[in-house]
Amino acid sequence: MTSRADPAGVFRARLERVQAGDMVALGEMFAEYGDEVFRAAARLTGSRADAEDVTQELFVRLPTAARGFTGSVAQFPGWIRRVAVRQALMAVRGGRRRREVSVDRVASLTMASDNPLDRLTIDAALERLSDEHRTVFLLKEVEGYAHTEIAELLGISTANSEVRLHRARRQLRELLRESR
Amino acid sequence: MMNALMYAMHPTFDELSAFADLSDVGGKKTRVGRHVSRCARCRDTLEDIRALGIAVRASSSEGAPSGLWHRIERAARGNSVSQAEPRETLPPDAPEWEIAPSLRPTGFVASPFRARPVRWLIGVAAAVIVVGAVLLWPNGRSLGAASVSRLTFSPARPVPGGILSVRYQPVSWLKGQPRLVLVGSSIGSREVGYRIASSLSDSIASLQPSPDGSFEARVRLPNDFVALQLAVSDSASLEVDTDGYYRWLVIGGTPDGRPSLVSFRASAEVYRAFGDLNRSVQPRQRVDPADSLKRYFPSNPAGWAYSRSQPGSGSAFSRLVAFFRSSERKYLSFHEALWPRTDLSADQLHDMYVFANTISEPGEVNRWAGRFAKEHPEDPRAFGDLVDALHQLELREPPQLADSIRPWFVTLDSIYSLARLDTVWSVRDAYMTTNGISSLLSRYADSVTIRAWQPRFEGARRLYFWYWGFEPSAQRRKLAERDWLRAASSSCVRPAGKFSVARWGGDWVTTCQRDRVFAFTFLSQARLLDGDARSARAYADSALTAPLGTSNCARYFRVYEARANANLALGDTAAARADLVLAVAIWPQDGARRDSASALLGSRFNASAFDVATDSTRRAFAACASRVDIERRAAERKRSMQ
Repeated sequence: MTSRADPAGVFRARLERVQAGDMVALGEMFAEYGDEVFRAAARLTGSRADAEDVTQELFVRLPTAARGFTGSVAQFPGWIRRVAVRQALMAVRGGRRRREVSVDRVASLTMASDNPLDRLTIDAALERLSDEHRTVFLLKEVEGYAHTEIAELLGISTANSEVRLHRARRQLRELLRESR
Repeated sequence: MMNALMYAMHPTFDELSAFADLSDVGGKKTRVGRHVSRCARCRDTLEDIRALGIAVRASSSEGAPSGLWHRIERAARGNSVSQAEPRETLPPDAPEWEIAPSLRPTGFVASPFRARPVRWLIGVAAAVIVVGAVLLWPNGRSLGAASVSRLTFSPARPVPGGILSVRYQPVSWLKGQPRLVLVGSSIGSREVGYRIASSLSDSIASLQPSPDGSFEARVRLPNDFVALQLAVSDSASLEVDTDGYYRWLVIGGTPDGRPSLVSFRASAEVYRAFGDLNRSVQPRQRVDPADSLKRYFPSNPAGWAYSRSQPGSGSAFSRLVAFFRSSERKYLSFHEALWPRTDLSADQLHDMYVFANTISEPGEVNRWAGRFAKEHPEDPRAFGDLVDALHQLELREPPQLADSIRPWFVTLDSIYSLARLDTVWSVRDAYMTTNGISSLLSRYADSVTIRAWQPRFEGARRLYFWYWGFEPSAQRRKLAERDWLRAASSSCVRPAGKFSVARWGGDWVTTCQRDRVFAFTFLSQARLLDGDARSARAYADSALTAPLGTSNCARYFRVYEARANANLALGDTAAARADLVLAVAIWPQDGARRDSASALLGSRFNASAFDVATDSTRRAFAACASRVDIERRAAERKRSMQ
């Protein structure tokens, strides 16, 4: 029996209902974690439309996927966020061709501008990074992954992950500095 | 000298970036940590780096849109009509993004902040791999035999003029080739890291297929062979395989079968330079020249000088502490033995200087660098070592600092002439020198000394501006323009016998072509600043028409903006408007571009017409990109079927 004062019990019961296909329980999960999943996806994909797809896909599949989850309440946010990252990376990969209209390395060289209209926000600067650099930067700085985890996630070496992070930071700094 | 300069200069951006990720406790113990604690400029850069993370985390982003749940609900109930179904089919290229096992929805979920490998499991796996490697390579004489490597060679320590047999098990993307090319870079006896980090390597030998699927080659080594870094390329230089971040390392021996001190020293110096830039890589080297130096030449300071950590059990911090304790004792014993001697070689003096740096003793650094400079001013390394020592002295801010530094300018001048630094400096050395010696000169030297040194840094300054982009100062811009002109004049044809070895960042030809486009763009802007609008437009046209790999649909928006500016200066508003439409269409997500176009065109900006033209151009770009993508995939499929 689940006590109202037992958050773990409440969570476990809700998870079981989600696993059983209870839409109310799934809605409760969405209410609790939907924004976080959406934000993580939006950052990584750079697109709210893609983030919607990612979030939808994750929650539609959650009843099945959650059957494998046997961790604690405290572990669930990390787990669902990781799944969101996975889905978002797949979306980035699928959408990469849309970015190929411009020279890949455009962000690596910047030119000074006296025009205040050129000033960038951090989000706009992130948009100018290549997918590879932006992804590593966000995984490290926002999602809090270690380089070893990023390397495993992206199928690259740890050194490559570090190099991409350094380059992303350098480019962001230059972009933001030059735009001021 | 290179490594000495690295100590002397402010930490590189990459070093500061790596440092930003360290904990405060661990970070303060590092060279960078000590430098940062005393250097306001580097602290500013560090704060910038940390601010990026803070800014992006604080960046306000909206949560899920209100209608999303209804969409999910409909999709989950399976009665969605108007909404897109969840994707059930993975993108064709999904395997590259195949999720790591730890991220699959399983029972155990490791915290992203606390995930640690299971050590015993790794140990068992490593043991199995090592046993497998020994079985697969029966003679077991390869230097890389201690770990699994796709590339193995024998003898383990080849001698100058000897034969090196190489066997290579191809990675998937190099399988099925009729032949492969063994490419490499020689490490000289006083080599520095960056020179061999060039993205182009020489062809060493042809790797021929053998019946078991591997490739083999025999290489006759040059008579002055010291050490070698190897990689494997296909014959067209489209694909390359390296040993992770590094290339495979071959360290030479002596004809009497002993390990070569010169080879180990040169390799250690090269790898120390890389390791300094990337902490996490060095411990994973298959070959550790510093460790070998310690083992084979225990009475030589070099092995200790180039060591960066103490292997063994315990936490990384405790190993670091153990390293400093044992290394400091060792340093004192070397110091006691070597300091009284008057016949020390340049290598010994340099090694003691490096050793002092390794154990973070600036006073000792100063002592050995000063002696090196006085006793071997003909050695180019003495220059960088001394600059480093002076910079460390500067950071300590002792009384009468300027009086302590000024006399050394005479010595530095002497080394510059005797060591012929104007001829032996690599480009990168010269670049770093700009930040080192010139900053010392600007703070402590008199105007006569500064003027005497000025011409020596001209090349370095040009390079600096090439790396860091547009320089608005007319005088400095003229210097930078020479490099832009040189890049713009390049044919971007890979030199015969040279192979691209960069694993990332694009192949050499593509990189060269992009540099050309950027150079033309810089030149266009420079000419416009000079008031020469016609030349500016000609350069911009060149930037738009120069060959550029396969992504030919559009170029960097700055190129279009450069031509728009030139056209405006020439009074051709229609052409400028067309260029600005292109610039905006490339970056549709950036509203500032459109605003910028509006500001440039002023009263001639017709918003609705501009937006219509932009949309149309954007669609054309998208169609082109799609076509290029289809062609690229078709080419890849064809290639994979071959």
